[in-house]
Amino acid sequence: MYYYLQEGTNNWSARQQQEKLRKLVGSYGIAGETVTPSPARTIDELVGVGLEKNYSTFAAVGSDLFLNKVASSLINQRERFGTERVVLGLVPTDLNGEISRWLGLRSVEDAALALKARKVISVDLPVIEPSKYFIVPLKIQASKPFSIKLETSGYTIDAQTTGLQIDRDLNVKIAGRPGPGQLIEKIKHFFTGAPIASPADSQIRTSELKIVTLDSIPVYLMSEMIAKTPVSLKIVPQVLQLVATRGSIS
Amino acid sequence: MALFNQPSGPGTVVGVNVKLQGQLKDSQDIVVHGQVEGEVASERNVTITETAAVKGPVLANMVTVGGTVRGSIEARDKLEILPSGKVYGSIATKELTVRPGAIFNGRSSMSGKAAEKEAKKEKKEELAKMAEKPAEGPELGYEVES
Repeated sequence: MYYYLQEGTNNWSARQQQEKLRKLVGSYGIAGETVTPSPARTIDELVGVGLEKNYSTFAAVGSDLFLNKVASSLINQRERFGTERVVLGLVPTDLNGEISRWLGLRSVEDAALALKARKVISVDLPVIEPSKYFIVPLKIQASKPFSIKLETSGYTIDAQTTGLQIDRDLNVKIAGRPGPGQLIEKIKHFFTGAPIASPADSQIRTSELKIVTLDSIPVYLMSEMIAKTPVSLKIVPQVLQLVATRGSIS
Repeated sequence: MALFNQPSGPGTVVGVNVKLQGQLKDSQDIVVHGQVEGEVASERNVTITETAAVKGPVLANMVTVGGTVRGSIEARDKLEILPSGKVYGSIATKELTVRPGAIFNGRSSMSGKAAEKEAKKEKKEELAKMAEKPAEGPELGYEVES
């Protein structure tokens, strides 16, 4: 039996996708219990309920931020329930979003078929210690350029930056301090994911990282602030059992 | 089963106003625009641009120096020192290009087939010369007593 965590949304397109998925999983014979978080019942509580009920397959349906929260909650709670092998299927309602691209999902049908097939893979994910796992990139931003120190196992970096972006492979892009008049254009360019274009920008890849700033700077997961510097991040190998999709197996 | 988290992309870029201390290693390309104190090693290419200063050894398949390097460079395939490039240290490579205007202070050694062939040829010629010319030194003589 599947345990569906569905995001409550007013977005018409997202609701259409959710309805489509409901019909598809019904026709595939993989319907199950569906719950929707609310201020009264948080994602953490509902994940806990699903684990208590011994569901072995969870499916999160919603925005990238919602899917990220469910994944993080599941990883954090499953140990408590002794259900290490619980599997998560991700059904993004934003088919142009980061998670759709990552999983190679082009439609809700793709996601439903993957849930039906239930092939499982283990994936590595990064965590902001102690317990905030993330799939979509993090951003560390401030209104003014700030000094930052990055410590990896091999080296340390001192830089002046206007912002950082960190993806799930711990690829870190550091926006260099721009010249006068270039600020808006540079930030726009930097966060659209375009390749490094200016010699002021930096990029590193690591498996462990500590980020220290003089003043505390917010760390955002999409629109939500999830931490403040200083933060330590690391890749946790094979931390999530994920329902495999077309794009996740090469 | 292959998973998502395989390294991809351009590798490491050290920006202009960045100071990196320690050992920088990457299987992908490394581009340095800023300052590095420590080893820079790539399984592919290292580019040290005009604004860069590296203090430490550099190791890669191909190394291009437009900035300053104080330390040894080992380029497995090719080393190019651009007109703005300054190298203070020993270099070892198969193919070396030093552009006019570049500064190079140090020892160089060439490896690879062409260099080995040249070295063998030189040795052969030397041996041939030695064979033609009798060895110099005190003449030894002896008398036969009758």
